[in-house]
Amino acid sequence: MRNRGIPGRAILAMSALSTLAVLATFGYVCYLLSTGASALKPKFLLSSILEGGILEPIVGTLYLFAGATAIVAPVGTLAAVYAIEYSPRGKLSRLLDGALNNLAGVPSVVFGLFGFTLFCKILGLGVCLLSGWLTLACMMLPFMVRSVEEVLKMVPESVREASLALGATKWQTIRHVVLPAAAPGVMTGIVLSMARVAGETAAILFTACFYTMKGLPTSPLDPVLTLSYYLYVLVMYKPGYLDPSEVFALALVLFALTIALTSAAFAIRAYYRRRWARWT
Amino acid sequence: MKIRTVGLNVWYGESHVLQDVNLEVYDKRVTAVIGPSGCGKTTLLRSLNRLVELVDGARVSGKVLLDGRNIYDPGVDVTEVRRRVGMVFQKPNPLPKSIFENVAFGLRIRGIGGEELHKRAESALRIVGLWDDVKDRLHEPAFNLSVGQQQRLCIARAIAVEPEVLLMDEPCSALDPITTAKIEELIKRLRERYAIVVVTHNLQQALRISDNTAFLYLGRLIEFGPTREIFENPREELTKAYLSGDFG
Repeated sequence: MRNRGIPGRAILAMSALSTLAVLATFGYVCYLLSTGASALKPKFLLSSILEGGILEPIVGTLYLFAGATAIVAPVGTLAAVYAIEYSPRGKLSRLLDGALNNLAGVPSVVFGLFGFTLFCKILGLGVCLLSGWLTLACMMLPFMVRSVEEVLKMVPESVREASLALGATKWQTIRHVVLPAAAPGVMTGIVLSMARVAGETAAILFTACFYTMKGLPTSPLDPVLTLSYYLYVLVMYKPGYLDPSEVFALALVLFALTIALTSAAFAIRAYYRRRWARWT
Repeated sequence: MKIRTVGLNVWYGESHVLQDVNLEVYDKRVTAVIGPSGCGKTTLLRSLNRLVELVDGARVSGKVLLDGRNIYDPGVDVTEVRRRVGMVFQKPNPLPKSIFENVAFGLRIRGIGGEELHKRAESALRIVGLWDDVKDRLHEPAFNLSVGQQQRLCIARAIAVEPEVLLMDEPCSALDPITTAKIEELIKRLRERYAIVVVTHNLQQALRISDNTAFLYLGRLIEFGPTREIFENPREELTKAYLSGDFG
């Protein structure tokens, strides 16, 4: 028998309590989401918010993601190509590296404030889909650049040499050999950075969303309603408007979206790593 | 004479890896470069198509004359040099593309397409003896091929752009004896068309396939001459010692 002193027992008790707390929290979250599941009906998903559904927030979320992704994918890819292929030790690349590390740690509400100041006010875009795209793109950028950088580093040097030795220029090598080989990494970057902002509320709170919007946005200069923002509105300003199970159903949709994006990113990345492992 | 290096020096940062190398490479002959590991064989090879410039901190002085013109002259188009001086690497390094696209790549980047592209790709695959093995699966990934087939594919890729010189960096070191024999046979056939420079660790191989041999030691060209002479009657003590296995 080991002799457990008072401190030993205290630590044991605390660990047990912590474990219980984690399990209880997790169980409660599962319970809440399961109450949401009962309200998750096609009619709820497909009807307008005016009829108690969540169609606009779903479509609005997709609009917002699609636009932000369309901006961040090429910008992030090109930044990564510059950093890895053209100037691995250049001043600009080091600056980019530092900037990305800091950006990744900035709280989202600060991004929201930044976006509001720059895009809505200074550039005069107002609170709209476009401002939201640009703000989210800034948030996604570190994840996008990092993912692409990671796969560019995985493409073996021997493959670049093969292309250059055939008389290809540097750009031809990047365009026709390196980027196609790194394409899954670009995909991972897209999904990963989408997962990062999937549940984002603070960054779009001031930049893209109005609750008073009518219907779906018809141009990038219209405001938009998203799942996370609608959830926030329901809880803060309209308690009792929907029955709780519908609020949780909304949360469940958001949750499922985030999980789906994250798992997709992991799956693509795992597949890709296996493929390269065979290669080298 | 196809290539002549005149006082060729290469530095990687502070280390002086090639010192005053004067080498001659003849058309329709195989030149073997031998020497212990780290003596600069690969660097010498890579300075003949300017691939050495990819290394950070690499510096080259002296001349590499290709048909009399220095390939390091400022006005020279490096992509054209690399088209004329093809290269096969130590480890097969097919591009992450299909079998066909590997051979087609060098042609496509020069704007060759259609009928001409297919004709030249097929002919390159025939020369390396791969056509019958792959003609029904040209669109499979090149990685599905065996290592030996991959190396032959890399040779086909190099000759598809119709180079004048072929540089081979220990092309058989990753291969088994039977495949090695096939590649050596291929080199003997390619000799009828190109000037070939082969870096090899394998002295027997140098003896079997080469016309001329260059012995490199610590970045210096110790001895250069017809292979028979080098192996039977080396002039330098160092060459004699290396060939008799005193060091390696």
